[in-house]
Amino acid sequence: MTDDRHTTSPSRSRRPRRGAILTAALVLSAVAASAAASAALSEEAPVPLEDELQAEIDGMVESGVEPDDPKVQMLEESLEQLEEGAVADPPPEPGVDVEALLEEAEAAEAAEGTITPRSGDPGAVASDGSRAAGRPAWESGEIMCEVVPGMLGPEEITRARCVSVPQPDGTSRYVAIGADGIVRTVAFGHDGHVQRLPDTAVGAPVAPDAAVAPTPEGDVVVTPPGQAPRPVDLG
Amino acid sequence: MRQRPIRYLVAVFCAFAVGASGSCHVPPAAETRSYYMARNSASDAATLGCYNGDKSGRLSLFFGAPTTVGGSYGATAWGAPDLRLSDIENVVKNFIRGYAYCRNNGGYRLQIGVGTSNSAINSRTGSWLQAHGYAWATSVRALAAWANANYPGIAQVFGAWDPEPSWSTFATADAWMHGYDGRPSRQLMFVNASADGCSVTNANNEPCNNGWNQQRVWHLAWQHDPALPIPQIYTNSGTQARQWKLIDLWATVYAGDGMYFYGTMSQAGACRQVGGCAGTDNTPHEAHDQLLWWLATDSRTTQPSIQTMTDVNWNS
Repeated sequence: MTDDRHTTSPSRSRRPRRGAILTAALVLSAVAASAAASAALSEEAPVPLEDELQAEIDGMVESGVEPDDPKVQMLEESLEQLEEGAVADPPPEPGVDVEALLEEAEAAEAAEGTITPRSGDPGAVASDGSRAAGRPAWESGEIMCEVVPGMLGPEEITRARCVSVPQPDGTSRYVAIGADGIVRTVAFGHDGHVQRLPDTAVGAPVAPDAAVAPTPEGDVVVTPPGQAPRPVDLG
Repeated sequence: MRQRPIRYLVAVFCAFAVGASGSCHVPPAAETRSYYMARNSASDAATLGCYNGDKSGRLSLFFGAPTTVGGSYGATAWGAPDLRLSDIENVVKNFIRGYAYCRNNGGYRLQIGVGTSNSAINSRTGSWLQAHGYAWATSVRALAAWANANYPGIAQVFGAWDPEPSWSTFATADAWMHGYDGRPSRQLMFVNASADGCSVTNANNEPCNNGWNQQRVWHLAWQHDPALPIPQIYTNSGTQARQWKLIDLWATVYAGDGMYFYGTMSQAGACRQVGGCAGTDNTPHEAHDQLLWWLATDSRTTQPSIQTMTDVNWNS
């Protein structure tokens, strides 16, 4: 591409061409419109979900998906249901006190982080609106090993033994003890705080028949068959 | 084979010209939050639903790995008590109750995916996995009917699934999906998949991690009728967006059945909670822009827009 600044006269170079002005105006307009749209979008309600669904259905068909494709049909059914629901006026769900539930959670939240462990929620509302008995918030003992997204990968739980270890402060530790004795721990804290703690070690390989158990202090004890218990400080 | 020149130009304009400014984007209320559900009491679920009263769109509530709880099908919860499907139904119902109670705007609606994953399923038999998938579909169907009866126009319920190549063999994941898809009148499913190990350069049915390949990822994320792909686009480098573009391209060229993406899932919220994620903490807009941009790099994969932007968090 030729750089015409080298071929034009000085006077011409100081006077922008009409095309350049037009281009600059267009760019400025686009930027201004973009900024204005951004500001407006930050305050405006989202596009109704019905419109989004319709746009998706149109987009699918336009891109070559058959209109009678099951996926299209299921989306259309969903859209139809949404549209009908938008004008429906169902009676309040009987026997459900959402406000009470929210107040319970608020009270539990206020207590959390001080001395009260995360409770089992004795005020739970079952599907029929009735009160259900509470359960502990965390398991205590050996559990099935699974991936903890972003924290514990599949290779780290292969052939591992996993233990849920409630802490005295109401938080919990998810502990994967590898066959090689490496102890990998994820801390589930208050307010959604999740943290991978530094790895520790049992100090010996952990056989499949070794006993693994949490302690009341929030640590783990590994007991190989016929050997003394090996405490593991989870930190 | 798809050729969509006008839409190609629109997408390119949005992605290149004004993508960063947000003009082609949805407003904040439509950037939804999804959750890993490790806190599942009734009051916690209602509170979480209430907290999301400022949102309208699609989200997924992920429970843990498929399991059996006291003889019933259910899911784990990362150290919180395992949940039977009936427990999960109650969690979702209370989430919806809280949302309906606190909804900021009468026009807001949620489409909620009730999800599990393919984690820890390699030791399960095919028949167990199919039965679990079938039971999951039945549970989701029942929840959807309940929501439509009690909260029409406020919440709809769908399935959700987080299949990742590194987490299980393809055969076990596929067995579960066949169970779900085999249930008559099953609900649509948000497939919040990853494509780990899949190619970032070629679309010739290249291998992915753990014996999966592009065809296998496509099969689970798209070919099954209920599957609505809303993939994980976490990496700042854009590699995941490239992987999905190439899976779509493979499907378009070799299967004649290209994908349509209904959204993107990012994990910026979870990353904040865990103290940071190196190189994988795309914001919802970055995830959206990356996928739309990479799809727009080929007229055979471009699509005009991607509606859902959801960001996963820990509910713990």
